Amino acid sequence: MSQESEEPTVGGVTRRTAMKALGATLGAAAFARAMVPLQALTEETSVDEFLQKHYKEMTPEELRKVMDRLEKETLERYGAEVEIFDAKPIPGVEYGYALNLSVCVGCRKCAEACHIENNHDRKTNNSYIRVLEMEQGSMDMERGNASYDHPVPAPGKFYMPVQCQQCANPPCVDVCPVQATWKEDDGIVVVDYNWCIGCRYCEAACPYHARRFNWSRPEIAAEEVNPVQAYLSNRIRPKGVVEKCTFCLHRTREGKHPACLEACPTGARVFGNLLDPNSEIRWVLENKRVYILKEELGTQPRFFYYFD
Amino acid sequence: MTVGRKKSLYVVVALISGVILAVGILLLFGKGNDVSPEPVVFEPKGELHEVVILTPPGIGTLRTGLEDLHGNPIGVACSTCHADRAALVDTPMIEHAADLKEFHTELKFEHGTLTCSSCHHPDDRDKLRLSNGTEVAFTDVMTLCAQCHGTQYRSYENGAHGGMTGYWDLSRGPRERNNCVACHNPHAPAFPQLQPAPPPRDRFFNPTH
Repeated sequence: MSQESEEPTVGGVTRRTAMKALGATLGAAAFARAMVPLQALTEETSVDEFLQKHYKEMTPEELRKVMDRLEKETLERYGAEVEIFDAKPIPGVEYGYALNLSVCVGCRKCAEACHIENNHDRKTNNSYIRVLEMEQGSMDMERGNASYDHPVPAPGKFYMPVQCQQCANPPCVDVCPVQATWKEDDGIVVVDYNWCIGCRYCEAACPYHARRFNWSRPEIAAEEVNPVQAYLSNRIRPKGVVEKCTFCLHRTREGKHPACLEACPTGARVFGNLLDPNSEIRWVLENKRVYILKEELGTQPRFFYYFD
Repeated sequence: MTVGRKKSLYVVVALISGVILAVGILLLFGKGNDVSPEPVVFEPKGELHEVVILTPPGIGTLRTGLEDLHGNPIGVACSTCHADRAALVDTPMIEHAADLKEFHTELKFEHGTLTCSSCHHPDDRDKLRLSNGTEVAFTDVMTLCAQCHGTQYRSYENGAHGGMTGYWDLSRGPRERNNCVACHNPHAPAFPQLQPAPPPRDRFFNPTH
């Protein structure tokens, strides 16, 4: 009996001890490998950002702290002093936007104004607006050309700027696995860029190709950064997250017109409050022949196109 | 016996119809509590700010190509020549741009079959003239344009034509709007062709990539 309990050894080490050591080594290696992503934290994501709560779950004080941190990071990374604030929806306001295709000449001034206003990446010349050059007689936006570069308006063409349609029934919001994007009370669909995991499901779900993905950290010269920034709109987005048009909520929730409207040299754009019966947008909806893009999908856009 | 039965039948029918009526009335008027509250109506706070229609600087003058200290174009009043030079005053007004041989020869005219006096006052060159003969100041040129371009003017009046800057919510700030001639050259009003801002350098809708 006593002989059986004695374990065989190799060079004084029992098999049990050897197995234990092997197990410990493998376990330690696996643990170290699992912790590798934490090393990347300091590069793109600070620990504070990693522990940050969802926009809707933060108290105003917590949000202020986060925005202070973001202001500091912008100064460190871009050398630009900015002020980030939290723009809230105005009660009794639901935004609507209309665009007159009869007068749009396709000059891309709206896309350019968006690029500057919303602190877009300079090297990709990104913008939330794509102006599609369309064949007269065609209404299929999928066949529009966004990369034309010749004097406009070209004969036989018309121009259809497409941006986020701020759908009342937004498919992009439905597909987000982490609820990083949602529809606000004034109808604007927003993204918490710090909650977004960059899976790009929303980009695939949007029938209007309105969402953009930050493949790299946006490049902007310090003097070109627009310092008036809102948490949910034009603050400089981090790498690896999705962004979209917010109807310039940092402007419109202060009562101002969006940047693309002010830049339009033809006055093709009409913006306003759908709930105000005396607003310009309501006059357009009641008096012009209005249509919405891809109506058959049931997305219920708040962006309207019209001819006159 | 049959009479009694009939009577009780009437009572039952009356009772049932009474109950149905009561339920109907309840459904009709009692529903008020379940209906969602009235939609929120937007009410602008306080007084509304102004909507200013911008008049281009130097309107109604002949541009000299020079600028003043503020960067505004220096123009010469039409009456500088047209009121004092006997030869010009006495000659009847030239009616077509093609007939301008000595002055205003750079004028490009592409505005239908209009003649000069369709808009310019033949007796007072510092004024414009409506089709019914009413004098109009250059700064009120929109009244003149509206005579023919009624649909555009109606859209303009309702905020659906012409560029603007400022506030959509006038209770929070003012708005500036363009005058017709800020964007349209009255002598050749069609919007000219122009080179667009550069295209995006992304992968979508971009056949070159």
